[in-house]
Amino acid sequence: MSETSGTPSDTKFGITSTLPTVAFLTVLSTAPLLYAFALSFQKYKLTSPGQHPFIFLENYAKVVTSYHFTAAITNTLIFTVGAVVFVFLVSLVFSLVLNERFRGCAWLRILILIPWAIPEMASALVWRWIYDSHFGVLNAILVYVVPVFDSYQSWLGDPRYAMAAILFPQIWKEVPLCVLLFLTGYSTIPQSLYEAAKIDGANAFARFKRITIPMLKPIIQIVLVYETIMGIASFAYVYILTGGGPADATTTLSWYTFMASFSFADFGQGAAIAVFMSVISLIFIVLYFRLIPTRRFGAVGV
Amino acid sequence: MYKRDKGIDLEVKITDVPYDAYKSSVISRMQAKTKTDVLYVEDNWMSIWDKAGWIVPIEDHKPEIKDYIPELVPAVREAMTLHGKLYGLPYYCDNIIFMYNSALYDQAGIDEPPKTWDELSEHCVKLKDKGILDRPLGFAWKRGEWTFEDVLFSIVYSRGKKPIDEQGNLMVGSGSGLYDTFKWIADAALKYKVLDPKSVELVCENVQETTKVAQYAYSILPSYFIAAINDPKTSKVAGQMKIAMMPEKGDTVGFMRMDSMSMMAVEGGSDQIDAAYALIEMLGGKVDVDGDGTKEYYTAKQWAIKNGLPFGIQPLFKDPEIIDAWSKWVDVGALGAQAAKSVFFEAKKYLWWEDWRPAFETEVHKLIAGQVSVDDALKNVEAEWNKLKAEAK
Repeated sequence: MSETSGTPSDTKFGITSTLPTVAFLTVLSTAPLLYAFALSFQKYKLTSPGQHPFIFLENYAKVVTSYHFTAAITNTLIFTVGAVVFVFLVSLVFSLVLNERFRGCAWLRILILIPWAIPEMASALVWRWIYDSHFGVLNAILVYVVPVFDSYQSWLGDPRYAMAAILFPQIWKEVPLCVLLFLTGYSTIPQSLYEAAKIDGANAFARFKRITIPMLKPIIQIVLVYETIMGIASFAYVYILTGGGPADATTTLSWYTFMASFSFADFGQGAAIAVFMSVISLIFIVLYFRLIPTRRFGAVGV
Repeated sequence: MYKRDKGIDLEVKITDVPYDAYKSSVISRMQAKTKTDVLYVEDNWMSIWDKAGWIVPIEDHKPEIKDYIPELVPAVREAMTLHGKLYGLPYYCDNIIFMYNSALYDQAGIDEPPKTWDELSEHCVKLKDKGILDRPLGFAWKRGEWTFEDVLFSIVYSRGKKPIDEQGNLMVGSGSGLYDTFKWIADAALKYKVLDPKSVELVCENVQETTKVAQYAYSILPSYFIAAINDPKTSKVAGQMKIAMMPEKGDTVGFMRMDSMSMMAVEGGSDQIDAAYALIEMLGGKVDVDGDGTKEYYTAKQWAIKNGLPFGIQPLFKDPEIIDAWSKWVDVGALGAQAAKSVFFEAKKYLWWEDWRPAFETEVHKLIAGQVSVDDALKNVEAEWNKLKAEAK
């Protein structure tokens, strides 16, 4: 394996040309984060207008000892890990299929994007009707078409199913983007590598393991990071489908942030939960970068 | 921008927001100080929005609003009053009613609606034993559903008991209304298996639709829903769903949605106040629509006749046009009698009310699922109430 890198003047040009955009994006993304961080140390309740004293860790203490916190953090982790694992695996399989040339493949590549194009709130409302425990199409199929059950199930009201019921739409919505990312990744892998491996006698699985996966590592990293963030921040499916219930079976940190800010009217507490969410995201991201090291940008040779 | 005809010379810029997003949208709007003169306010949020300085007592700026007080349903008047002052005029005001399917009663050989909650359980068991319905009773108790507490505390009030004492403490001890209600819920769900466990995922519209196909024998909902349930165009049970007084003492929870004046309108000066008040009056008060000098509750009446939306204004219960329209789907006399027994659930005025609701709803769900005993559920809701109450102080 060999690696090439740009000349010093190329590097200078690269830095100079991207600096304004990077600076702009940094300010744009960092400023709200810093504001939320500052807010999390203040008492900021709407019922105390104009009085926002510094209270250090009080909001954090309140959040951690609150009625909802344990369930929220546990469910967020279950939901996120579930979403990341399934989105990754399903999109990898789909993308491998769609990477092959067969009749209708171009149409399928377009059709698969549909879930991604539907706004989350709208799709959540559709899923609510699909899951409906008295009139839903899922129940109709599972009772009359493929008789798995003899009566209609409460997908959103039964603690055994509720988490899976909010997880499935998340996977359904997120898979298309990841399929696209993987397809883009495949297109960057030189065909000559596969041909050389074939000549060396490598079978399909060996080629996938030794060429596809290593060459896809930067894409895999992006998929994992992006899906982790989307999983932790996912809100619409919880809010519309279950409201965090039944009991607290689907109470997540994103739901709790929303409730703290817009129902309890406590922006300080809402900000503290948001900081928790950011920290969890960060832990996952660091973990991914450690577990899946990739070659630095500019690596083109093998 | 639009300008109404028919003599009302008022230009209004309306921001239409889906109701699920309304509260968060207002909070964002007010935090960003976006100009807003009139706000639609739920009784659940009124105290918080008042404390935040967003809404003002209208009578401080328009004393003539007090002329409406004698005509308001008492529970509605109480709900719209804070610090002894009136904060708005009603837009949608309603109360929880008890509906039963008379055809299913005939099938089961039940003569009359239940007089007590235990009797309701017995009737449900009868319906179940005769194979008519497996779970005759369903509630709209999805977490966060707007009527969750109104319905549940209607059961408490109907027992002739208050859930909160004079000091603002939640009363949960043995023999309290909440204790008896939790016990009744647990028995209905787990002992008699007549309460539909799917209730924990249902919103009002789900209960309405399920009732319309006779899968529930009972509906305990805001009275607004009976119009659709008894609508022959869409309902299989049209004409079969009757109103009975809430079992036991007959009391029920009344609630309100009102239009209120914002502090921003007041800061805008007298013209702004006049304009805001004119809109509030048009939406919830009396206006001279035809320009003939006579004033009527125009908007409330139109909503009532066209959509069956209840109003919280006493004289409208005697309006012949409304009685005529409503008679198609409900016994107006029974509806009026139940409305007269509605009380305002005073806990909504506590600043920690909204904080407490999700924990309360969670414990009710656990109770229905058998994950917690009545005693433990009550202990948990009381502990959360006391904690939030102490924090609020």
